[in-house]
Amino acid sequence: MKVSLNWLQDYVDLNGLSPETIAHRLTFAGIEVESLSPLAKGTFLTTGLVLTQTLVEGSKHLSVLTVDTGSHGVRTIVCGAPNVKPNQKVIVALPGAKLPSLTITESKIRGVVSQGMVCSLTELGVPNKFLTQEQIDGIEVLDASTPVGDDHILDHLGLSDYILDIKVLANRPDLLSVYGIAFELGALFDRPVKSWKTVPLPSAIDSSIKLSIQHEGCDRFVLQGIHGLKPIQTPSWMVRRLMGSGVRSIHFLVDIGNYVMLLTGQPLHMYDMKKLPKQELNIGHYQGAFKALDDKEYTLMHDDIAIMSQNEVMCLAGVMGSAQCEVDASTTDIAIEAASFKGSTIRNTALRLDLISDSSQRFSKGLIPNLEEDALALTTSLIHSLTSFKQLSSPQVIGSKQTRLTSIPFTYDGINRLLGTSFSNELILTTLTRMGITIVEGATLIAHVPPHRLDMMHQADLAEEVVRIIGFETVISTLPHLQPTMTGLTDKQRKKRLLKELLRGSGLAEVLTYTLTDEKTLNSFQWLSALNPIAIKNPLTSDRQWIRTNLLGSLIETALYNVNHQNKSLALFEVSDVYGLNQQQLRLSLLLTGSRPSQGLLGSVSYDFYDLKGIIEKILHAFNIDSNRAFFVPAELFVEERHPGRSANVLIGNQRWGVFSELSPTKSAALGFGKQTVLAGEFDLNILFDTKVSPLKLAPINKFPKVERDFAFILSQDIDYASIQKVIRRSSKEVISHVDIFDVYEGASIAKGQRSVAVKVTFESLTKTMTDAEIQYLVERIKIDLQKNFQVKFRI
Amino acid sequence: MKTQILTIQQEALAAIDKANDLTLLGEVKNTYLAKKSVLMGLYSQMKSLTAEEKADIGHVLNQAKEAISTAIETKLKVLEEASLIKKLNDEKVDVTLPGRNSEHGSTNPFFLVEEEISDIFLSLGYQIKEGPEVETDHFNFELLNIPKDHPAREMQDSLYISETTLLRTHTSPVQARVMQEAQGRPVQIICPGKVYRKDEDDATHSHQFGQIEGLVVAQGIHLGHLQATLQLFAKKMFGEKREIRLRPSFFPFTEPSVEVDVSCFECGGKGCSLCKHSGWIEILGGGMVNPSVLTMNGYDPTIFSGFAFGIGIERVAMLRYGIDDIRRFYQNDMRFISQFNKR
Repeated sequence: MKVSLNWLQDYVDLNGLSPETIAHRLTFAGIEVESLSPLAKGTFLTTGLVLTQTLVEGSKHLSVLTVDTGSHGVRTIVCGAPNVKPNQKVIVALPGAKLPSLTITESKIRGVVSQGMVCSLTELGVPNKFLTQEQIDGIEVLDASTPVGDDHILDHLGLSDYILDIKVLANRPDLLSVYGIAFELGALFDRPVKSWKTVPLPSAIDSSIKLSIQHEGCDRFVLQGIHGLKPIQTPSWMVRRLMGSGVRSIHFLVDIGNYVMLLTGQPLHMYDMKKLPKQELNIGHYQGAFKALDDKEYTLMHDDIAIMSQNEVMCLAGVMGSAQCEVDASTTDIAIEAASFKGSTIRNTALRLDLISDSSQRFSKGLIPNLEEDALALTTSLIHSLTSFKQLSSPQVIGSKQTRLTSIPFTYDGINRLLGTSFSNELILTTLTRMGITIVEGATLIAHVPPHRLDMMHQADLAEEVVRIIGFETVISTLPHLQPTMTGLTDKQRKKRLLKELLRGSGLAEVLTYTLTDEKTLNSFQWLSALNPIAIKNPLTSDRQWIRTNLLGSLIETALYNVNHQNKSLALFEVSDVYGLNQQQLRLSLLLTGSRPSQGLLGSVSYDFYDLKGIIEKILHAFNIDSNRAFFVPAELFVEERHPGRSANVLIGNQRWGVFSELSPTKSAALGFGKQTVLAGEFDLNILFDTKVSPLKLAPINKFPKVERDFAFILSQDIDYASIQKVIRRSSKEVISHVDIFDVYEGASIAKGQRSVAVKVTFESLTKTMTDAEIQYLVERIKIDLQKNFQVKFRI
Repeated sequence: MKTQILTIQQEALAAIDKANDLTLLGEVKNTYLAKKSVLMGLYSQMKSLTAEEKADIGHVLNQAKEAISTAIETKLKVLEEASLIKKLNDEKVDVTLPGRNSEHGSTNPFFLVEEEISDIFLSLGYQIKEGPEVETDHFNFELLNIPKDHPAREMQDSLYISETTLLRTHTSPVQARVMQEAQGRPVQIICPGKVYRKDEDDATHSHQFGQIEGLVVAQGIHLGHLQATLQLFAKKMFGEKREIRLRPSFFPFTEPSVEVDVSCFECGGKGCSLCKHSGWIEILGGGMVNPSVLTMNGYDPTIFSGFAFGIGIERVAMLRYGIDDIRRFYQNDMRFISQFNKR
């Protein structure tokens, strides 16, 4: 909320306090001043009378003026303003003057020495929204009665003011008013606060308007009529006050309404009584079209609060009036409404129709209770003192006053204990009293909170007031003595960290992507179990409409983004939860594309299937899941996105832990990877982390020598390595410690459909040194088993 | 015969001296020490000598043979060493070529900061608690003193799934869950995680971002405890010399509520563009747990009190590393990510 410092000073004595001091004090009392700026600014300003005007030779718009500036002499000034004329009273910036965006010096313009500048209000920093087009384009023309040589012209114009832009917190709607802030300042600086004044009003007649309520969203409704009002121009002091609050003057009636709302916090609405279809107003429900005073049509729904006359909507309560009975500069008969509507109802309406206004915001955040009559009295009083009218009708009231009185039991010790302070009882008492809180000392201490403090309910609220006003710097820091508990990471948290560290250490980059995705990505890359997707009811955009059920889609998007930004070699991973209807899974996704750097580019090779498999094996190894429990099997299910021959499921026990694959060349080309191979996979980390493994225990270190023997043979391509390994291991389980493949070859010199395989088998016995004869026997057994199972042909 | 021996010895030593490679030295060895060499031949001639002469000549002959052998051995060592040095020199590598290892992978700075903050609080004895991102209205709002129609719901415009479920707008529902589970026992936890708001993405706003919230509930917890805890956090995170200051604020779940500023780590508090010339940077919010929140979650506020705070992960990372745009965290441009592979 923007508020004029001059206006605040009408109600609280701020003498001797700089605007900066005031702003600082407010900020550190929780009323953050986001900016402090002068309304208009300029040094070395005075007023002058334009004596003569001649055009500069060769120019169509530059004139040379002689200006009488009183004690500053008659000055020659070059001026380009289209509206400058002799006999005008103007604002003159003398050489040396500092204006918001320029400094004035005596200078030669087109050969003429200009001894100053005639100013517009724009040049003095007044925002354009408060000025007419003529004021923006030209110089400011002062009232003819302005004295010449007035060095305090900004003060006299009411422009030497500061605008405080205050961030009002959701719990302090009372600060959405000039008076509310003045009251707060009074408490903070311990200065007296004055209320606003009203003048005695002439006697009133009974109102001719029939009122009725059929909506539970309206708590109180007060209406007052004024008849035969004489329209006038808004006085300049009021225009300046509004300006200081960031509000533009429109016409007298609108300005009065805004002025009262800004001062008191009570929004008002005015109806042009002559435009009402019938002398009745009914507060009720309405469904259908409504033409508002912004000339746009809105659709009202059942919950909205409509104020109707003969079933036509005259006002959308708390939000906007109708075009039909809008007051204008010539309106003479008005009905002024001051009401209290339910904040949530007004908020819902305003948000739905995107009609956030000063008044809807005040209703949404909560009004100070029972202000309706006071606000109306101030309005009629202002009208009465500024213009004349024929007749006043007395306020009609529907709804009773709120009887909210908050009494909070508390103890001085309780406040100190919550704050960790040792404020004296007297200090706490005087501090609370300054905030308008009455303390009643009886059997228990009771704090009676003033009605405008809607936020206060507990002793903790009183504690906040105390520390807020005395200052947080009085709080003494001490670390709490916490009960020792089982701390540190849980097993799952530790495993998650281990996994991440392992992958980072293996050269993969960890990324973070959005949870929300579009429908197309949602339905792509469902390689692992597909979850039942969840949609957002009120998405910002359609590409953030779904909660993703897999990570691969995002990882592939990330890879594409990078490939398109000249990062063609990528090794990425992400660990994140994914969600389905009543489902939550912790997932890992991996992606490799481009080439794996090794010795710079000297040894770099393109990533292939086995690079990705290697990473997966590394994970299994780190989690102590050995090859007896984890299996790689070709992914049987055909998925169009995957290369059918380079796609594998990874099983842990009998559960599918994950799936990885080379993207089908058609798919990667279609996605935009060109000819680049992309390898990717997704894994269910709950399965990995929940797999029970035996605790790490030292195995005996063998003191007997091991013996290695190589086998090379040709067999059908259809027989996979895992089967070969299995047959070899089975042939003599106790003494074979390793089976390692060291060559695979298919091609020339090998018959089609066959491949050559070479493996190294390591024999070890924990109980003795094996003899040559024993080894030879084992070798023969392996050969027999291989031949029997796979019809192999031995090369050695 | 003696003279002959000495002559041969001299000749041999001269030849050894001259022999400059292993082949030549081999030849010399062959010439003078082989069975058929002149010197060895002299042994067979000794049969004709007297016993006295035998002893005398034999001694000289042995000495000559010994001298030649030793000289050859010595020379052999010298030559072998030279040859090895030559061989090794020929094998030299360009030490400035890159080494053969894969780089340590990089990490989105989001995770670096998340882990660092978690570690600070783990070391203070806090536990890490996690909870679902798809949350119920009950945990996300109601139990945190944000009933339906509360004006605070306006400031947390949320992404809804149904009337009663939404993407959590803060990690506070985890606090509510933990308090409910604790059944009146003290808690000291942090809750890191992703949260969501209905915000348009721009340089400083993101519909998704990370939070770490902390909660301590026990008997006798006060505002001074919160201040000390956050002071310690600020020093560990931003440097030993950092100070914090509290400013009053408002959150529905705490009372009193505070915004916490840390003295600027760029200029040390003198004022610079990072701290907008104020010397202070706003880093987090917190406060004393609102009595209504304690009551709703099973604690008697006349016995128990607590503090809570919330830290924005990206905000801390942006300040810490000088990151200008929150969208960078989610773009994952490798030119950005790859800068975070150092510890």
